Amino acid sequence: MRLTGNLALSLLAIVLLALGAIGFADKTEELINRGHDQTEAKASTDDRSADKSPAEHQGHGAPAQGELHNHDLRGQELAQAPGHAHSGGMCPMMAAKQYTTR
Amino acid sequence: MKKLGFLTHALRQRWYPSTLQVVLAIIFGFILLQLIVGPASEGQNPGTVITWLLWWPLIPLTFVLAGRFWCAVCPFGTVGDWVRKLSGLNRPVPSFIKNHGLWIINGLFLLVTWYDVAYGLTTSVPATAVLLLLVLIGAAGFSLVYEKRAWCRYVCPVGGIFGNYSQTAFIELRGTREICQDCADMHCYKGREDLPGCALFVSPKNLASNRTCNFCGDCLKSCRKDSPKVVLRAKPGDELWRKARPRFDEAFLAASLVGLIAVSTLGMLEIWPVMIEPLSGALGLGYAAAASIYMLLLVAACLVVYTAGTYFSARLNKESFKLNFSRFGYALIPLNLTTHFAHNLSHFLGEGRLISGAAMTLFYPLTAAQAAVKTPAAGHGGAAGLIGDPYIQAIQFSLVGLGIMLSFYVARRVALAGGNDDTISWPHYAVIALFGFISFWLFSLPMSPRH
Repeated sequence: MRLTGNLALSLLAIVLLALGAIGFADKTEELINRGHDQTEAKASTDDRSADKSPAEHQGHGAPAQGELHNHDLRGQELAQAPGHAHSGGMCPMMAAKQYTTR
Repeated sequence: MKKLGFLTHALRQRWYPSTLQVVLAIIFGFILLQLIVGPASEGQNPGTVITWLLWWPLIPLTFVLAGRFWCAVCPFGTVGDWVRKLSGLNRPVPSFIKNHGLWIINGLFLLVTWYDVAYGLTTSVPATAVLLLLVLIGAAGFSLVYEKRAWCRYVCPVGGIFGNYSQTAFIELRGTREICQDCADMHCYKGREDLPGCALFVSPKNLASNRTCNFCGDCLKSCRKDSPKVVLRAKPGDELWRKARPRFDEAFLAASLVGLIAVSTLGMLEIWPVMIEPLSGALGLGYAAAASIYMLLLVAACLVVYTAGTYFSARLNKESFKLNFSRFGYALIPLNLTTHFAHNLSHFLGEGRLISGAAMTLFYPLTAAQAAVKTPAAGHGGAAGLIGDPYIQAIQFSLVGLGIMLSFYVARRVALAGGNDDTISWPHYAVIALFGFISFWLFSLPMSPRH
């Protein structure tokens, strides 16, 4: 009986944790998107002021084929950084994934 | 415990493990050759693809199913065995290495992970080649100087890290108590005639943990009394709470692994560049420095959280902080294992098709393989994936949930095994819940679009 109770409590805790984490992830995603939109808006303003097309402005606007859409990370270093989500890190598979889009 | 006669019999055969060792050594030789002379692109090179897309993601599973069986057939250990047989000095292992082996392992694993996070190891063909060569030189060098498999027991980062996981294995090899207690021969440990004794410096008579058994079968062959047996554990993982002497270094490793797994998962997510940007932008740090800071912060944060949990449990049971830290660290191992596997599985399932592409370079260099591998990726789990993202995420969530539940269970058993009330484990339930929440959160976040 006690084991069943513990099991039920654990399951409840896990479900609550998972639901909480999903909600928190949604909020995080909103923040990322908001930051992303602001960045793109700023980039677009900067681009207009500099009279450059988005493609000419490194790191902003739609990435050309084979380039990284790098969330306004400044400079090529971040875009090409090994641990960067687009290019690698400990995750083995990023390497291969990156290759697929080359 | 159910005796597994067929496995015991198999491990006693002359062909085991040497035949498997030779086959894997040949495969390893091929991988190393490809890394040195093969395609420069990591996604094309069979060496990097086999190492980081196939072997590394799936290796934790073998430790759950069969303990440190991999270590018995590991090519590095095999080369070490050959070196030792040819010209080994067979000196005793220095006590410093014996006493601090796991700290050396912790340090080496942190170093390798740091290099990968900061500079990219898995994304680099030359760096992968250098790593494998360094491990090979280490294993051969140790075998040249020291007796038995000193490298595997005391220094190897793979065996050391996954050794923690092997404690949850379904099977174990142990001596038969009634036979061992009156045995003075100790052939299992010392060996006899041309049969070697235990390569990991332990007799089955005293074997208490899967961490120090690699199922090489040497003790089975050497023992004349038929004492060692492979058995199916009635409760896989029960050694986590039955430790006569819980180890501080193993607990430290378990707590720091939570942070290492988290940082490696973060590196795959959209949020990672958003996190890196303030450090690189405002402080003017390079990528490597910013990523290193995050890695250190995450590992330190996990250790602080676990230390806080330990502080409260020590106050509750009036036992020393060190003892509590050591005991309850084992409760993190199931969560370590399942989150690590969930992380790795996403790569294997999410990009598994690339393995066949790289394998094709063996037969059709740079033609059919390129066509297969260069398929544009439609996001994680897209063209390169074996299954879709939602399925992968469901598996990851299930694994994390399972890990939390098992860690809760182990924490409770640890408290009870110490003769305490299970309320002692409540602080650790909170720690496990927090780590579990972070894992759920990380696996809920969107992957990088190009990942």
